[in-house]
Amino acid sequence: MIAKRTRILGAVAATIVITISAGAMTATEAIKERQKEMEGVRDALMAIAAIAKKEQPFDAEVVRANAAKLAGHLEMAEKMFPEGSGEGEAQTWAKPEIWTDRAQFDKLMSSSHQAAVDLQSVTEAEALGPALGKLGFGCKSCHDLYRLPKD
Amino acid sequence: MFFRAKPLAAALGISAATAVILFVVLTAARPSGRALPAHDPDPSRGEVLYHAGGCISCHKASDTVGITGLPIGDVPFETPVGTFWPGNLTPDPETGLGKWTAEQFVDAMTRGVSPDGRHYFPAFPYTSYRIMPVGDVLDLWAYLQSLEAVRSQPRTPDIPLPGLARRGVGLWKRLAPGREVFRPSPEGSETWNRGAYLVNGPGHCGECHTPRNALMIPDQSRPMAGGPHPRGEGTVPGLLDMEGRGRYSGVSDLVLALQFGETFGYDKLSSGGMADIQMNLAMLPEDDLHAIAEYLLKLE
Repeated sequence: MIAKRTRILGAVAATIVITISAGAMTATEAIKERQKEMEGVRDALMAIAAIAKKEQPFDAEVVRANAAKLAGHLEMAEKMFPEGSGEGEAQTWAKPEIWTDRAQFDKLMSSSHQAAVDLQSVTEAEALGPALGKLGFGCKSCHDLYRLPKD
Repeated sequence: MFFRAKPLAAALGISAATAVILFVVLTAARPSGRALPAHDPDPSRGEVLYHAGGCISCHKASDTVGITGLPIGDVPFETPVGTFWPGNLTPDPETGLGKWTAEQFVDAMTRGVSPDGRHYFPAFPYTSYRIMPVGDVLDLWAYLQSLEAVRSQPRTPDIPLPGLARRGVGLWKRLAPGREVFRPSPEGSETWNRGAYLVNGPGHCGECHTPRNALMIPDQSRPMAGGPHPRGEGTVPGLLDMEGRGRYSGVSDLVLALQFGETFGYDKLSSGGMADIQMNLAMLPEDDLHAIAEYLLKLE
């Protein structure tokens, strides 16, 4: 009970800190931050993809750890799209629809996050492909709608 | 003065009339009326072409069912010119292709002419499909005919002056260089040739990856060089020397990218519509993906 209350308090505190810092953040900082978080997502994904490509042997712990890392980075990235951060002094490929279509953006973000959480409980090699596919579909759907193509 | 003005007006009138007649003649869309060669259609080969072309991506039923649904064309295609409604490709007699003949389908695919004698807007990429041999178009036709017939909402495009614009397309077709039916190059391997065909014909990759000139005609002196996105958002990557630029380490790497895209961390394979394309390509036989990858990585 106490542990639960502490966790909730912790979460509330973290949300407040993030809200304030995101509020105080300049657009340029937000752009750089979210790109850094997305790089973290990609690195973790690459580590799991190496197993799916059979370049590395299946290891449930490697999958779990990287999926957890991925979920964390994704959660942070989602918070780095505050209003008004569509343009800044850093180059960004974020489309303005993120902010005009916010509910759909958040929905896709949270379903991708859920896919990353589900990926953490994969314990067999056969289950990796479908779980990873679900996550990849989330990445694709969101990027196709809300990220500009780049060379 | 009075005597001079009259012949001048007459001359002007005649020139204007000639111009109008010339415009009408030059921009008319006529069915070819050509007889089709004998062909025993193979719907399973047609299905491969259907996925290679990613037909479903433009002709999808809804964003929710996406590429897993039937190609009834109920999602508008937005372009800087206006909004287009892609056609219903299922055999529904009223709203789909149910009453079409094979000849009419070949005319649409390779000449961009509708059964009622109008020009299709080149948002429908017949400019690429025209290099498909008639037999392949008929295989695709056989596959589409095998689909379940579904009724869709008939709609008209939302663009300024559609009648005149369609005539303009007729003029544009005359300006755009014609493309011959694909012939394998003796210099390339069988795989390379298959890749060249899939990429430039049904795959219509050049529609976005080849830059267009001021008349929106693909600049064939710079094939696959990349450029502004035709939907007006961002940049389409060039496909030249992808290995040298470190995009892919080789054929098997690119095959995995085409099969799995972002699922395997291939970050470039979404955005600008590419996610749908990749998911369509994932349905191709692996041999065809190898062919595409081999051809693409040899582009310089």
